[in-house]
Amino acid sequence: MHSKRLVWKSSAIGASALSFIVALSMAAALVPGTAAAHGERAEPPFLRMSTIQWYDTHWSSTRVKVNEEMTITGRFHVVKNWSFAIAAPDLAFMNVDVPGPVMLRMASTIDGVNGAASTPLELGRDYEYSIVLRGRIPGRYHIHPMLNVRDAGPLLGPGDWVTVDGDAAAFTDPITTLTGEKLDLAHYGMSTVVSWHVLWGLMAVGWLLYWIAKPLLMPRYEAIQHGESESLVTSTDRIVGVAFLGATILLVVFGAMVTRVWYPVTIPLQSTWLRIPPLPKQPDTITMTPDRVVYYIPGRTVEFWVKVTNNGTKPVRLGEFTTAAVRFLNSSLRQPEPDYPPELIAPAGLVVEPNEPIQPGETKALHILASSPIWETDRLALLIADPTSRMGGLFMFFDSDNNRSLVEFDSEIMPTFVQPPAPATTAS
Amino acid sequence: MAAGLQARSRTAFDTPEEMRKAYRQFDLVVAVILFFLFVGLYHITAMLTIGDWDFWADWKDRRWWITVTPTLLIAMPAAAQYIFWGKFRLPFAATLLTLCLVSGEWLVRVANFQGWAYFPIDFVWPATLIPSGIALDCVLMLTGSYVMTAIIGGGIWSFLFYPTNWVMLARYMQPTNMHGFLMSLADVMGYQFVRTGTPEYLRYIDRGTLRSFGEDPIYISIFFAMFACMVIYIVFVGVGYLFTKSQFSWMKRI
Repeated sequence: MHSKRLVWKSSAIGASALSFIVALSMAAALVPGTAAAHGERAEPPFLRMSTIQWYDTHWSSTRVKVNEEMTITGRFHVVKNWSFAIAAPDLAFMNVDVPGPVMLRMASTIDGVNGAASTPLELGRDYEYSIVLRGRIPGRYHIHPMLNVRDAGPLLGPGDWVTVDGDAAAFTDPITTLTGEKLDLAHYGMSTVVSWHVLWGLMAVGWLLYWIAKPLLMPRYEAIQHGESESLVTSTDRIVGVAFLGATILLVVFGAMVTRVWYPVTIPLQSTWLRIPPLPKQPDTITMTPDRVVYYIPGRTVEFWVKVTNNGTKPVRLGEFTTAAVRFLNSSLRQPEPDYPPELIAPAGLVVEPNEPIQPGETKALHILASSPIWETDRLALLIADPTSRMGGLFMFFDSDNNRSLVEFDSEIMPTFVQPPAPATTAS
Repeated sequence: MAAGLQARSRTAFDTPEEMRKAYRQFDLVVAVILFFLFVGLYHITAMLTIGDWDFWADWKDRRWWITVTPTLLIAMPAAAQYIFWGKFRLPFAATLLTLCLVSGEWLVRVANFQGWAYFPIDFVWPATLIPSGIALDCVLMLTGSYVMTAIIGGGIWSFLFYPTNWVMLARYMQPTNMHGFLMSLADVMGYQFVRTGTPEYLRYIDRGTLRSFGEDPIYISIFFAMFACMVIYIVFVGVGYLFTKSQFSWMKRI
C-alpha cells in the first residue's frame, strides 16, 4: 500500500514536471517573440535626457533592397550639464545601432569629417552627422544613430524601422586597393584561410594518429610506474618527431616567403583619433530660466514654469520641446514630418500659455505642458526612480521666418502623484 | 564462502587480449571526453584572455595580438604536457590542445558570429597555433626535458605564431582609400561590418611607445613573447606537477 502511494506520488511529480515543461514550451512558442528594438527604453532616463539630445533626424528611406543604400542624417547637441554620473565625452565614436551587420556602414561623417575615427565632443555644442548604410541581409530592422562614449557606453538616438528586401546571396561589397586590385569584401580571402587551417589540421591529426595508434594510457602508465619509460619512445618516434618539426618549420617559412611575394604592399592596421570641431555656435538670443518643473505621473504630463527672455531682433514663439529623442510639438506652430517615427512624436503634446510671440527685449513667464503617454511608453517616467531628480531637453523657438533658436534646458523636477489640473486653468 | 573468495581474487580479464581490448576502450572513452573538455576549457581561456584580438581581422595587429596570444595560450599546453609526458610519455598534449582550440573557434565563429550575428566568416576567422603546438611537442619528445622545452620549445611556440598566421592575414593588410583615410582592408571590414558594442576607440592595436620603432615592433614583440613564453611554460609545468600530485591517485587504484 505504502509503496503504491510512493509510486503514485512520483508519477504525479513526473507528470506535473512534464506538464510544466510542455506549458513553458508552448508559452515560449505562442507568445510573440519579436525583439522590438535595441533596449533604448531600458536606458535610464538620465542617460537619455542629460547626455546627448538628438534632433533633425531623417531616414532617407525606410525600404531598401540588398546592395541599395540609405542615409541617416541629423544633428545632436552635447548637453552642457552632462550628467555627473557618467564619464564626460572625452572620446566618442559615431556609430549606428543595427542588429548585427545586416546593413553595412559604407560611410559616416561628423560635421563633414570622415567618422571612421573617434573624436572628443565639446559640452554644450552641436554636431551634424550622416551615416550611409547598405542593405545586406533581408529583414525588418530598427535602426538608430548612436554615439559610443568612452567609459560611458552607447547613447542611442531615435530609431525607425527599415526593411531590407531581396536576396542576401546577391550582396556584394566591391572595393579597390591602392595597388589597383578590385576585390569583393563580401567574399574575400576565405579560400586561403580555410586551406591553411585544413593543412595544419591534417598535420595535427597526423601527429596525433601516429601516437594514438600505439597503446595509450594504461599500458604506458604502468610502464612508467615500473621504471620502463625509456622503452616508450623509440628511435623511430624520434625520427618521426624530427620530420614533423622540420616539416612544420619549413611550411611556415615557405608560406611566409610566398606571401611576401604575393602581397608586397601591405600596411599596418590603421587607428587614429581626430578632433572634429563642432558646428559654429549660435548666438544666445533666447535665455530661459526655470522656476519650477513638475511631473504629474497620473496625467503623464510634465509642467514647466519658466521665464523666457528674447534678446534677438525678431519675435519668437515656442514650437517644440525634445528630450530623449521624443518630440512634443506645439500644434499651432509645428506639424510632424510624415517620415518621422510616429511613436516618438506627440503632435499636439506641447501646450504653451500664453501661446503668443515673445517680443524682442521682452521677458515672459511661460507655463508649458508637455503631455503624452510617451512619458510612460518610452519609460521616461522612470525618472522618479533616478537618484538625480533632474530633467533636461531642448526647447526650440521659431521666429516669423522660421529661423530656429535652440535652448538647452536643465532643471530639478518634482513628481506629483495626484491628477493634473486642467491645462487652461493655470495662470502664467 | 570459498566461492566468494575465489571470485574476489580473480582479475577482471581472462586473457591479455581482453585486457588490451578493455584498455583500448578506456583510451577511446578518455579521448572523447578529453577532446570536448579541451575544446571547452582552452576555447574559454582564449576567449577570456585573447578575446577581440582573435575575433576580428582588424584586431590582429603587430604588437598586442602577436604578444598576447602565444604568451597566454602556452599556459594550458605546458601543464597538459607535464601530465601527458610525465605520466604517459605521450608528446601530443600541445598539438591536441591547439587542435581542440581551433575546432572550438571554428564552431563558434561559424555558428555564432556568422550564423547568429551575421558577421562574414572572412572577417572573423580564427588564428591557428597548431604549428606552434606540433613544434612544442616535438621539442619535448626530442629533448625529454621541460627546461629545454621551455627555452627552445617556448621560443619556437611564439616565434612561429606570426608567420603561421601572416599567410592568412597579409591579404587583409592591403591598403585602400576609404573616403580620404588610408585603411587596410581589415580596417575597412571592421568599419563596415557594424559592431555596436565595439566602437573604434576600443580597438587596442599598435598602441604604446613601440610604435617609435617603425617597422621593428613585429620583431620586438615576437622576441618579447618568446621570453614571456619561456617563463610561462615553466610556471605552468609547475601547475601540471601540482595537478598530478593530487589528482592521479585514482589511476593507481585502477
